[in-house]
Amino acid sequence: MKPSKNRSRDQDAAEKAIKKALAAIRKPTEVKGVDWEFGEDSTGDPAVWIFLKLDHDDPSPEAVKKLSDYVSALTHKILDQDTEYWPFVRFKVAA
Amino acid sequence: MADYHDDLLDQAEHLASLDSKKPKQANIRRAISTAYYALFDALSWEAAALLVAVKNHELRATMRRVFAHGDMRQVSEYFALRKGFAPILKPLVTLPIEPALQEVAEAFVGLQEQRHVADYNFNASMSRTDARFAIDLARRALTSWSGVRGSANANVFLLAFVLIRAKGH
Repeated sequence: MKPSKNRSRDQDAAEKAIKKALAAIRKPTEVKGVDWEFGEDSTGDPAVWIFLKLDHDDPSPEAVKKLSDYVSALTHKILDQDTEYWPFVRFKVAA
Repeated sequence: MADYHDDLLDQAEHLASLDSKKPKQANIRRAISTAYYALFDALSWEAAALLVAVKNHELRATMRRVFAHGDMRQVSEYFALRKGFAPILKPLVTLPIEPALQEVAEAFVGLQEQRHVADYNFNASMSRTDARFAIDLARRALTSWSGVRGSANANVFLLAFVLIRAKGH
């Protein structure tokens, strides 16, 4: 992902959409924090990478299911708000 | 549907489970890439089967070479957003798009981007959870696909992989 150089009004709207989605959907206990980064995806379109912070990197199948449900709900909610930035989710593990 | 994609998912699981303590980036990245290819394989096989009506494995296998990753992603973005369809697709789709088809489309876009990071972005460190999530996403997409395949919109989705390249789409 290439980082976005300039902050635009669209980015502010996307940030609002992300915050609204985060507030609306209950985080699984495995997620200890969330941050995001605006940029471009591999096709050059606006994208936002949402990083879900975990405290370990060995999720059980049940935890993976919970995380997947959460990511799916979050992605739907953000896309439903007509943001130009496509949301992609990755997982970061605290050092 | 051919079951090569199931083998790919098993392979991805195997790669993601290697190295019990700190996973090697090579294994994690290959697992993510393989999870994407499992979905790509399943959808391109379905599209080839739809376009080549005769049950001829060789013809269908050759037809699959027509499908481009970028075209499939563009089509998936339309179906994931459920709007803004290219003019050539607009009269063909029936709104609303089924949630299961939307899930398949969303998963395709997400997995393709994860695969791009896994294969080309060596500044990014990828986690075992990234790999397990990618595998789960591909599995869910395949389950959703089995619930919607054969529907009018699912057929348009598959045909759009080639229609999207039509002039003036």
